[in-house]
Amino acid sequence: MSQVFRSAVRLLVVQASWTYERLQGVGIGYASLPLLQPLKPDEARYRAAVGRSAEYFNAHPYLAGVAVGAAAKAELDGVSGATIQRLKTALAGPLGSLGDQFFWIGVCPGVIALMLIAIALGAGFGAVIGGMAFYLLVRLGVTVWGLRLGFRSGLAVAGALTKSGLAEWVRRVGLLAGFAVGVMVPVIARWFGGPTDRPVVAVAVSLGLAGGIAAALARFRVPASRRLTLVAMGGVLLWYWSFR
Amino acid sequence: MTWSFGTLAVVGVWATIAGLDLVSVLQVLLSRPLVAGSVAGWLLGDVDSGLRIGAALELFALDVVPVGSSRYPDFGAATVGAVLYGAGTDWTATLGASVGIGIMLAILGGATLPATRRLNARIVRGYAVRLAEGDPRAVRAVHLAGLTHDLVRSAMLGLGAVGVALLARRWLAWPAPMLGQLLTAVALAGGAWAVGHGAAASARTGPRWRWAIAGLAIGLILVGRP
Repeated sequence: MSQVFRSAVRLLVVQASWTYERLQGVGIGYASLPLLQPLKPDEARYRAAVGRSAEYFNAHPYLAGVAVGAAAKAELDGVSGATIQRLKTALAGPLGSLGDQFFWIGVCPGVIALMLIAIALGAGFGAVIGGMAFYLLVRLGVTVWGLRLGFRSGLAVAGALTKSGLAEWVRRVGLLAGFAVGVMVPVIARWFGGPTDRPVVAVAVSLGLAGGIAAALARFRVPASRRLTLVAMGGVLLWYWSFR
Repeated sequence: MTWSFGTLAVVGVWATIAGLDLVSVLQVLLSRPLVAGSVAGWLLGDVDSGLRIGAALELFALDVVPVGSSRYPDFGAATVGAVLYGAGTDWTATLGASVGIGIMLAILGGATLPATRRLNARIVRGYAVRLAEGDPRAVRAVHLAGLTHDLVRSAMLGLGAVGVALLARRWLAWPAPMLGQLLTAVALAGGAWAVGHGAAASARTGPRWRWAIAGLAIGLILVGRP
């Protein structure tokens, strides 16, 4: 098993030891160990590299491999410790921001919306399996791609990341996700309306949607939708029991 | 609808896997309500309930961005519990109650994340000197301890969700049809609020917003067809 492959597998559990002090730090160190193996004959250099790899770090978990690969390559190239620390600090923000926009606000809601549309149109459980398989491929692909990009580029990783066109993909995926969520809302509302297409569902969904959009645009400081819903359910229960 | 102990055990294992997927292992949608719920429904022999309850809770999850140290609910085991409560019933009357149980369990599940992270921090502090010295065995030990903490957390949540759902089925039963339909309408209104809030907060103004509006228009045309 190649060192890059072993490191990629470890990146799939990179957040298991997440703490408020080091954030992903120890997980990054754990994923870096296979890549640092060639330094083992020089015990002092190896230990210094391992120690640095497990220090404070945070990025999007799917793109953390870019930093793991780049830092490990720099260690193997004999770059100074201070420079490697600066490299990791410089990478953390962009990798976090790009990853959050690409996955948490782009691919993830986009795929979920497509799955919901497909279910509402009658695809059933198959839509869940298909969506999950697609997402798994994207997740694994990006993890391996990022690690290899970082390990190939070392200190030049920022330029390689810019050339990769990831930022443009973030923009495109964001637009497609917005479109998919837009299509999903009326389609899923119709599905929940059931065979009789009960108007109460359409009214409830319309009111809820308008309220949520208004609250976000006006930046009202309202509790999260989950708490609001529980409070509303409590009100319905009180009303029902008092008039029964 | 009743299930054997073996089926319930498999459902508990699935809830544990969904819990691990949230932060520690893979992160490939297994903890999302739609996936966790539909697989739970399939295991329990009622895929339709799993899909509907999972879809309803997914609307709430779309308003959550699980970024770094932010606090967010854990919908994995919670959705499995909600599906176990609502499986085999008329969904028009029980969807709202199932969603209510799911949201409560998700909020409680989310509260266990900071506790797990503080536990991880204690282990890190215990190994601080060896980590600073670059001892690879210390790195492995701390990381595997973190993984074990999350496994235990997820298993406890899975067990708790299955237990709460079975107790709710036994003691609370299901709401009367009229009350159930009211609760379902409230749940769907809440889900729509979450989607609207999430979409508007992430898009604000600009091209993404225009694409969402265009999608909404196409969706309305789709459902308007006979």
